[in-house]
Amino acid sequence: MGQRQRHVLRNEKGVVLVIALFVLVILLILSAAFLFQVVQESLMARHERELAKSFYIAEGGMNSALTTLNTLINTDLYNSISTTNPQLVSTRASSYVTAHDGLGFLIEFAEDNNIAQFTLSGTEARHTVSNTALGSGSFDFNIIITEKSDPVVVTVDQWDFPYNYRIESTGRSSGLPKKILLSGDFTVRIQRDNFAKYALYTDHHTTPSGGTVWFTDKTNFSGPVHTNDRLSFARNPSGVFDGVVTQHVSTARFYNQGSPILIDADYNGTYDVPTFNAGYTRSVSTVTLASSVQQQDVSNQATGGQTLTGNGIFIPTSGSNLAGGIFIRGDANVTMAVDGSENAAYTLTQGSTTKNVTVNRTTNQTIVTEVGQPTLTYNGLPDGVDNLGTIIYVDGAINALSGTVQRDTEITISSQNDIIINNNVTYQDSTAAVGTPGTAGYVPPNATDTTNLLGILSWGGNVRVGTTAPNNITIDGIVMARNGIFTVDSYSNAALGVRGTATMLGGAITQFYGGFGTFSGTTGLQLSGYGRNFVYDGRTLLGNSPPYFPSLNTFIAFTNDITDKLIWQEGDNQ
Amino acid sequence: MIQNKWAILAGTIFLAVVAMIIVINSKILDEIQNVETKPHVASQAPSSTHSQKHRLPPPKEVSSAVPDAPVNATVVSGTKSKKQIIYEIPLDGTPLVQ
Repeated sequence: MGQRQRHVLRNEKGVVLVIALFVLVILLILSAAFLFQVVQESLMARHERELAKSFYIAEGGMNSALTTLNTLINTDLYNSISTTNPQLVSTRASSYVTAHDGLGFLIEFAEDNNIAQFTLSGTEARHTVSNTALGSGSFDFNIIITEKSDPVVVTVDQWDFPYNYRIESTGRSSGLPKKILLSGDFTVRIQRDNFAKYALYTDHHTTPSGGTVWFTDKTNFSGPVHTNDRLSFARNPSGVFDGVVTQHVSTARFYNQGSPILIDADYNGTYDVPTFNAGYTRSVSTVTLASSVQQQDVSNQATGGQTLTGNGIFIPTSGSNLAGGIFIRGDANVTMAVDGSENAAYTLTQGSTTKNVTVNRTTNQTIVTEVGQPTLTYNGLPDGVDNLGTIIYVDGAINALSGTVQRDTEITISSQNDIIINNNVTYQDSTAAVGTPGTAGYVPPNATDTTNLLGILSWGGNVRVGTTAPNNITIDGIVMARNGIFTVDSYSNAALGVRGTATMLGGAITQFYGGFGTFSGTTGLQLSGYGRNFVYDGRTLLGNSPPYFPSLNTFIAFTNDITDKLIWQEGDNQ
Repeated sequence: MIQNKWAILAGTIFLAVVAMIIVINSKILDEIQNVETKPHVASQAPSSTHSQKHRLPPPKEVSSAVPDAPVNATVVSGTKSKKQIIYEIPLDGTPLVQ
């Protein structure tokens, strides 16, 4: 090392500057590191936020998928089955059961506008919806159906197809995916469609003699209304219809201030104006009032196939077991009640004979008492040979029917001739109406979440509300007069006065349309009898019907247990 | 003379490092700014490009498809002028059946 270089190294001038600059560099590097950390944390926060968004979007997609699954079964499959030739449905359902091929059935019949909604992928049927916008992101979902078990025949013209389903819903926000998995099971039932689904059905919408029966502001219907004839409307306002209204004929009849006209329209200027909250369609196909369930079938369920001779009240037995339902030959009175132990109790009277039948569903026993006779206790319920529900068949007329249907009881009361309702007929636990029909705030009665169901069925006569029935009568049940009408005795007798409104929770299916009251065409005021407030029992839409109740020839397919058992889990992110 | 060279060298390094850190920090600050604004930008871009056709129709279209006033709902097929009207025998004013 030379002399000059040693001198330079010993010279300390400028060192402070170098150190200061060095410290500044260190500080700048530290500040850069700090900023870098801030950025990282911001990025992480953003990531978490977007993931949370994705999660909730995925949850929205899952709910959408559940709704879609319900639509695929209870709308697409339902419509496809109900519009397919009944013989073909029967043949195909039977063949899929025989082939143990539940997926095949689903893929063939779950269609929308003739486009299959499921595609077969190995042992799965898939329905996929992609890239649906929701909020600031989007979701995709797959509905994957597998067979839970082999499809089975339940009874004649009734099949069950059990399935498992899995829903994979992926939500995306800012490109970050989050997946949710949901699984459950459901059973699709295929069976004959049922007349119980109508709030009002008439084959001919006139009295048996051809007289016009008008809808007025005192006639309100909540539920499907159909006639194979034409409907008639009087005055403004006329009736209120909350369900789908259909008729076969192309024109409706309007009162038109006393000069009735037939026009293809929903209303007649400002003279006759009904309110249709779910549409009024004319020129639809007829719905034939024919059934695969015949009168003799119902009678056989009550007799248990036994030959019962002479008039009387019979509870067919086989040893100590009940063999059928309750069969009465000759006219009788029937009263339903609920005893102190919450059992269904029926009082059956024929002439001077009265039998009390108590049905204890808890012990599965039926107790029969009669004055002067020993009490008889049988095993089983009077629910027919097929055990579908309580059946009382009267081979004659029922001159008085009233009472309360016990909460667990599904029952059909059927007769050959007329049935006269002489007092309220109600469901235990049903919810009464609130307010006035057709006005704001009115809440119709309902039996949602209850089990009891009543069918009142006359094969050859009419179902009549008697003159001793109370004003503002309540009838919970589905009335069917296969060859007659549902009407009010002396409905035009002004001496009996205006009797208020007949409120019905169920429906009326009749050959002709019976009168319930009269009104002045000039003033619109009710002059006699009842107004009508027929409220559809929504439970019947998904296949519920009274036991042994007549069905349509067409089939339906439905499920009501999609959301019964949900298993939810967070999935791996894609 | 050499000590001036040391000072020039140190100063040059210092300026280079400062410039580099300024550049880096400005990029980091940009990124911070970006983090705050990106979700909004991102939420608009994909939905407008990929999801537009899946959006529900605007409320106006829905309400026009499903009229809520039954009185105005249907004059069938809009053929009022051609509508066939069949007149029935006038009623005589006696009470009518409902």
